Amino acid sequence: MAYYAIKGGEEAIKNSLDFYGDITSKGENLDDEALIEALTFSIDKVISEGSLYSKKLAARAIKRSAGDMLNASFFLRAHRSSCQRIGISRTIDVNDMRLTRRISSAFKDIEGGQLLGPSNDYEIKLLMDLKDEDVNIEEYSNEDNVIKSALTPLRDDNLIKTLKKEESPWDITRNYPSAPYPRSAVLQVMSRGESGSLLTVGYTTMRGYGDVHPTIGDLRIGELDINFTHPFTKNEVKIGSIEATAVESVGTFNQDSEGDTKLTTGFGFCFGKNETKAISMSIIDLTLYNNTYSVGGDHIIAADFEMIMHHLDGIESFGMTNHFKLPHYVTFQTDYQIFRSAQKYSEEQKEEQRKEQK
Amino acid sequence: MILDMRGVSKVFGKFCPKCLETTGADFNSSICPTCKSVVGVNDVNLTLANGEVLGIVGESGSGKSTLLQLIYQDQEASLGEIFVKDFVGRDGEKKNILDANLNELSHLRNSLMSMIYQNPRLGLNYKFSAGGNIAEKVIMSGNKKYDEIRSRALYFLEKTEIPVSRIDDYPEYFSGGQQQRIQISKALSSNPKILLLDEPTTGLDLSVQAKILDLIKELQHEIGFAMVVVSHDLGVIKHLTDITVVMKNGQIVEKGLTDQILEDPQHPYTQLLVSSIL
Amino acid sequence: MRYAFLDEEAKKEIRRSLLKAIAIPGYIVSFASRELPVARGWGTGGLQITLAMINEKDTLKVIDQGCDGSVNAVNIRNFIKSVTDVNTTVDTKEASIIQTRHRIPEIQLQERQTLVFQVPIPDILETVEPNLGKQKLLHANKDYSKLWVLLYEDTSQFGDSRISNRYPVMVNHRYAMDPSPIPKYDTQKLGNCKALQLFGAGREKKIYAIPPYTNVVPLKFEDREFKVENFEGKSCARCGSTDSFLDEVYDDNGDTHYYCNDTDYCDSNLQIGDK
Repeated sequence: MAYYAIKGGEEAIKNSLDFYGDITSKGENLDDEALIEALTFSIDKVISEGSLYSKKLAARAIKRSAGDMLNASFFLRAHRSSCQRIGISRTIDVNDMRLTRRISSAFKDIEGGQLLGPSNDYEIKLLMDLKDEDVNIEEYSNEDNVIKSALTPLRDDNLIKTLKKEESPWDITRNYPSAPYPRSAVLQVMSRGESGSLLTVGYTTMRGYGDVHPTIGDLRIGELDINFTHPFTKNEVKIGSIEATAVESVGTFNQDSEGDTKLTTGFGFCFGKNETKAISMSIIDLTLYNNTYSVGGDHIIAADFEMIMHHLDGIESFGMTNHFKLPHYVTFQTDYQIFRSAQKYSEEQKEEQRKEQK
Repeated sequence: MILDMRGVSKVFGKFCPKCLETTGADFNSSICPTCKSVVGVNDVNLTLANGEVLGIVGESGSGKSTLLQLIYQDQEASLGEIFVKDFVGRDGEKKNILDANLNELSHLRNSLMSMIYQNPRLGLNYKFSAGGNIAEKVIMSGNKKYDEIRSRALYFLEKTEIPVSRIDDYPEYFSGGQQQRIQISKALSSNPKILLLDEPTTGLDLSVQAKILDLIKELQHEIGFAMVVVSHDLGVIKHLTDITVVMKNGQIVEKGLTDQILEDPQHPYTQLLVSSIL
Repeated sequence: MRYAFLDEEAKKEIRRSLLKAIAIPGYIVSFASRELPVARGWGTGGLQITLAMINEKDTLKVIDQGCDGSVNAVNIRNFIKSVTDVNTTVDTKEASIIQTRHRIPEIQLQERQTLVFQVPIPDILETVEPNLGKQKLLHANKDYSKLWVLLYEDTSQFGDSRISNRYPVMVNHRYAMDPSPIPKYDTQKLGNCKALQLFGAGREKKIYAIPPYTNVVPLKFEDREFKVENFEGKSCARCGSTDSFLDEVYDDNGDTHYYCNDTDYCDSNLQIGDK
């Protein structure tokens, strides 16, 4: 007869991890490089949500998690926490991106053309193989393709609303802000947020819970250099490059703080290739800073800073949701006792009422 | 003197030095020609004695509701001082309630004063039961004994002719007139020294209006609190108040005993108002 | 690996937050909560406090639902030991730091002991107002009317508050505080405690504290009793105790048994019995 209902925990944990190890070991022999190349979108999702750009670590984390992407992102976050902070690189300008893909829905044609690049936008989703189509490649170039954002002409004409610039960007991993939230903090939360969560919130605006009417002004995927000032030599050096996705959406128009009528825009950015996430992020950015009174219903989640700042992080929501599996028998015992007391009280009241009626 | 207001103004917008001088009754406008700000209340001076009932009458846009909101601090005044009897600062000297800190403001709004809004949605919390709403006011004025709180709620519901068996019902299940009466119960339950009423019966059926006005008058005689009643309806003013001030474009244009103002108005605007009674 | 896993900046930040929290009993202090190899919602707040405080001279006890052997307690204790090599114990009297989830030990704590609570939701106002900005204003205004009205409504409907654990308390006559999901049975131990009580919410990034000998009372009407969990007529089948919080356990035959929830308390009763 076991008194130790939950004691013997050590052994239970060991055995459980062992069993779990059986599952995760199945992927042990998968080659990291092969994973990085073959499952490139999974890797990119993990580095984005893990908030740590390392495709190698992402590959390892995915194997350790047997494909659970959120769990893999969690590994990367934990690792990031243990890394020493050396310094801050030069601010990236996405206009400097070496493009592999760049489109703009806002214009029929743009400087540099609509560079479709590798994309599944026109893929017919049939799992069986279709006839092999002949591919005709006319021009082929190995040169870098660096083109400014398609919205540049509008910016140059001062037609786009600019928000107040912050003195220095916030760092949510060092300090979490309270309301009113600085925009840099809001963008950080979204950039490392869980893709599905951002998708849901962005989607609500498309069904009427928000008056933004977005058009993609510029969507780009490519490589960006990371430049860093060497702490000793004080020379700026390129320390590497990252793959990233950036989206600028154009919304409706309104009056800025000076009273001038301007076009509104939103910005989405994340590590790796993740168009869905970057598009969602840009639309939420638009909605947050351009909420109007007249349309959209009473509660617009995408325009609510509290909703955005506290519910999009996958590691937090995932942890909290799963924590319900932890033992809760003490709290349940208290719930049950209160329920019984309340039941007793209700019955006593009914009895009294019955007596009074007689 | 239970209420003493000096030089109180409220300007919506930039508020330039010309605002107060170039708007008002004589200009027939509340909009500053220089900076386009709207002067809601323009340099009002007013006093109220203990147990006195003051009426403030005027058209929509005259600033009468805004004035009330400034006293209760639903809105922040742009200029001026308001003194309430027994409201003193740390030094024991009387203190401008517009400078009240958070604790003091809480005391003012929960114990010294109460406000009854035209729309019960502003004065009641629709997520609390009728009893719960009254309980909130009683608790915030310092009482933490359940039995006393409950009996106080029952007492005032009875006084305002709400069936006491409905004490646990939620406001949305009552009629408009009943919701207003619940609001009155709530406002009185903290034993305020000053009761502020903003168009308390506008929008209700005439018969209901009459009942509520009688109720308020009776309670005021019984309990003896001072009252400020804002209304555009001269009938209401006549029924309830001892003294009346007339407001136009944010300023007071006439002040006097209610009977005198209604029988023998002096200011042309007051004459216009009085003569328009159907 | 650094001692106690966290880098020095993180430890400094947590310690400063702790000092501020202790200086203002019951007041919620924001802190830059670090991500740990343990999941959010699984004790990262309590863990960060322990890691920021612990040193080689400490003796650590970790309990979950009152039990040292509970899976989560074992996991956390092992993790802390692996990054500090500190002494661990199951004996409440021996421990200098006790990290706990959902319970306060039965054995009275002494001066120089520290009790670290794992907190899922740091603000008691969350039950009546989820917006963080509004919560802050309410605390600043000492406006707990929504909690009181909730108590009133529950009392008129059910005779008592419906809150079963996480019962709101007033700390030092000023702040309403969330004591973490401890049973009402334990709420009474918070006040005038000789030990230091620290509360950490990792996911919500908040820390608060009750210094020793602080006035802490449950939020209740003056003319109503504070009813706690009742184990009348029941006793621990193992040590016979009738004055501890009991767990209801079903065995393989479907029979019900009761045992002390606090396993160390149960063990020590048996030892006393032996003597």
